[in-house]
Amino acid sequence: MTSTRLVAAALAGAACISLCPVASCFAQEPARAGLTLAEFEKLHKELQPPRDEPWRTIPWHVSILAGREAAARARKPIFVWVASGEPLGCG
Amino acid sequence: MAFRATAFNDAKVVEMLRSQFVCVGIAHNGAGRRKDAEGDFARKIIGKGGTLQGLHVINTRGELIGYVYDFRPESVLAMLQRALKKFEPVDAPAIEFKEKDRHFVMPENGLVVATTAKVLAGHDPVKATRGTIQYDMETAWKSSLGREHLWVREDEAQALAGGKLPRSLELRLVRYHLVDNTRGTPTGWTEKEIKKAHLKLHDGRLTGSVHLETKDGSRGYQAELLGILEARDGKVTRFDMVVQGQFWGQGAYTPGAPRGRFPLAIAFRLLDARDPLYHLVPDAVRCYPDYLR
Repeated sequence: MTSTRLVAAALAGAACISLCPVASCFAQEPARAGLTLAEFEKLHKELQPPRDEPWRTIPWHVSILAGREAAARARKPIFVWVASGEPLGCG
Repeated sequence: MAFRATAFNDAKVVEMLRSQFVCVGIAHNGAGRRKDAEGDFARKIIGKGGTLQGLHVINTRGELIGYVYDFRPESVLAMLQRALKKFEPVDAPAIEFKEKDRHFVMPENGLVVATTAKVLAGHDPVKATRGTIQYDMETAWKSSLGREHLWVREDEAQALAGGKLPRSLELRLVRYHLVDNTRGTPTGWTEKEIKKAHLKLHDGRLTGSVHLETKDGSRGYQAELLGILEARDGKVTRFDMVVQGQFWGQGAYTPGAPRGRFPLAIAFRLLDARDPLYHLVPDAVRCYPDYLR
C-alpha cells in the first residue's frame, strides 16, 4: 500500500470512529435493512398454497373417529392415508 | 408431499375418493401415539399393511380391506377398485370419545395460524426424465411448500389483541416454526440454539430478526421478519407475517437440502375456522411435549 493510500485509509478510519455509532462501524454482521412492505406483500402472496390443488378437493377428515362416524352414516369404506408426520400438513 | 404430487394429483383417483370413500389422513407417530379412543382405533390399522405408512381402506370395525404403498395413480386406482368390490358395510358399535388426550387438543379460544415455507433457490435442476413418476416426485421435492399450523393460546391471543407479543408465543414461533419443513418433518431449535431473536410488536407491525444455529454450526437460519397484526373488539383479526433469510443444513427427516446457504421464506396467515383442516394438529405438537408451554 502506498503512503497516500495509507493516509486515506487512516483518515477514513478516523472519520468512521468519530462520526459513526460504534455498532454500525464495527459490527460483525453487515447491516440489514429488513423486509420492505413490498417484499412482504410479494412473498406472502407467493407462499400461499394454490387454491386449485386436486388433493384439497377431497373432503378429508383429520380425526379417524370422525371419519368412522361419517362412513357409518354414509355406509362407505374408509380410506386412511397414514404417514410419518401429518399427511395433510407437513411438506 | 409425494402423494399429493402423484396419486392425489390424478383426476380419476381424486374423483373416486371424493365419491366412493370417506377419507382420513393421520400420522402413525401422531394419532398412533394418542392415549385415547382416537389412538386406540388408529393403532388397529397402523402397520396392518406391512409398513407404518401407506394408503389403507378399512371398514368401520377397522378391518383392512385394501392397502398399497405406491405413488403411481394406476396402482392406487387398482387398489381402490379391488377394495370397493370387497367392501360390505358392517355394523360397529359407537365409540365414546369424551376423554381426549390433552396433549393433542387445540387450546380453547386460541388462534390457528397457517404457515407455509418455501426454498426460494438453491436446488439443483430436476434430474429425472420428464413424464415419469420420478420426475413428478423430484419436482415436488424441490418445489414444495412446507405446511404447518401455529397454535396460539387464548391468553397469548388476548395479549396480541392488546398489542403485546408474549414471550411464550415468541419462543414457540421461533423454536418450532422458523424451520425448513419443505421436505418433511423438520427439527426445531433448542433455546440454546437461539443466538438472536429480536421480535417487536409496535403499532400493529411485528418486526425483527433472528439468528438460529446449532452448536456445531451445521444447521442455521438467519432471517428478517415483518408482520401485520390487526384486532377488533379484543380479537385478533389479522396475523400476516413473512420471514425471509438464509438457511443452511437439514434435519434428520428433511434430507436433500440445497448445498450451503439457501434462501428460505416462511409466510404466516390466520386460518379461518371454517377451513376443513382447521383442526389439524401441528406436527410440532407431537414432536415436542413442551410445545404449548
